[in-house]
Amino acid sequence: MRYLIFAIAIILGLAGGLYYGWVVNPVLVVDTSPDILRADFQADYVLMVAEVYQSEQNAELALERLDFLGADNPLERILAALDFAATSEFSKADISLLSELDSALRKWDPTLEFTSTP
Amino acid sequence: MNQTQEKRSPLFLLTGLLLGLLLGLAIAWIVFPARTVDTSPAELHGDYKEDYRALTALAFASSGDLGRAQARILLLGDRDPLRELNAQAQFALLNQDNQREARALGQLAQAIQSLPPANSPDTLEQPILLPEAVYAITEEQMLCADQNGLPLLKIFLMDSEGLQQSGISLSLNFDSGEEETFTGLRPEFGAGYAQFELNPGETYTLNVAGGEVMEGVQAAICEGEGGANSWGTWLFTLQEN
Repeated sequence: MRYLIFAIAIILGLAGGLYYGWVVNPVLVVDTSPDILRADFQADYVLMVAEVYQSEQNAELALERLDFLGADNPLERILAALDFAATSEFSKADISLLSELDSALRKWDPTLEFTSTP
Repeated sequence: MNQTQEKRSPLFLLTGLLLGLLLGLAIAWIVFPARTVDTSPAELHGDYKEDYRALTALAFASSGDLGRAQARILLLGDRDPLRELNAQAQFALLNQDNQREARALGQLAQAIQSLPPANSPDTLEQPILLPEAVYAITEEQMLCADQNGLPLLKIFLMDSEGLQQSGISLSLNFDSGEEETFTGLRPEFGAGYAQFELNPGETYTLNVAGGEVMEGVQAAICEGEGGANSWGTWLFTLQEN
């Protein structure tokens, strides 16, 4: 009986410790990588790439910049940004910039299209 | 003997609880720390922040949208964004391949510096309720909780009996245009709720159901811990007279 109570006490303590450590006071994260940025920040980053692409017209550089977000296929990030833009009332001009970047990259490297996730 | 056992029981419990708690904390903080997702640019590693800052400057050089560039730079949560921009520009100048980036960073720093002083909570001009308005302000707050967001204006609209009003048209007029929305489009916050994103540097007039209610609404900056700035959120509750 004593051991059972002891075991129950440990389990209760464990549950409390996990709750406190995961929910109430989780480890403070600093120095994170861009692939775990919130969807809106990722979409805005892709928009920045599209804005710069508009003046540079350099698809290779645009791809390098999209690598920042760490996707296997950069087109996935552009499509995610376009989805986010459509549901978040981005202006038509911004959506058009994203679309231009998307089609420019597909033209520049057609193999990207075949490796993208549908 | 029984008496001794009874006396020990609470100690057993306490020891078990403590052991479990320590084990739980070790698992939660060291072995399997909570996986972090949905972070903000402010939490990025310093090297990534530099990439983000450089791209922001290049995007500004391309679009000329200073309000947007400033909002992006503030997302990085730097204590002194201008200093960071200038320092990175100086560093980029040392590398022959980064001259364009250096110029863009320098231009952005200069453009931000040339803006009128930011609206810190100390110097912030309060929006003014217009005398002819059919609504009165019953609550006015500057929220600084969301350290990562854009400057917002949040409004709750109430009728004369204090019930939330849905489907009421709200618009913000500013020098170069107008934005419109309706209460109730975000039902998770309430039938009378509506929100706008504010562009830094713009001054807005708020209209409710076509009538001017408030003028002088501006994006404001919250001063966070350690001097890190972030955009603040105006929250107004307006009640029909």
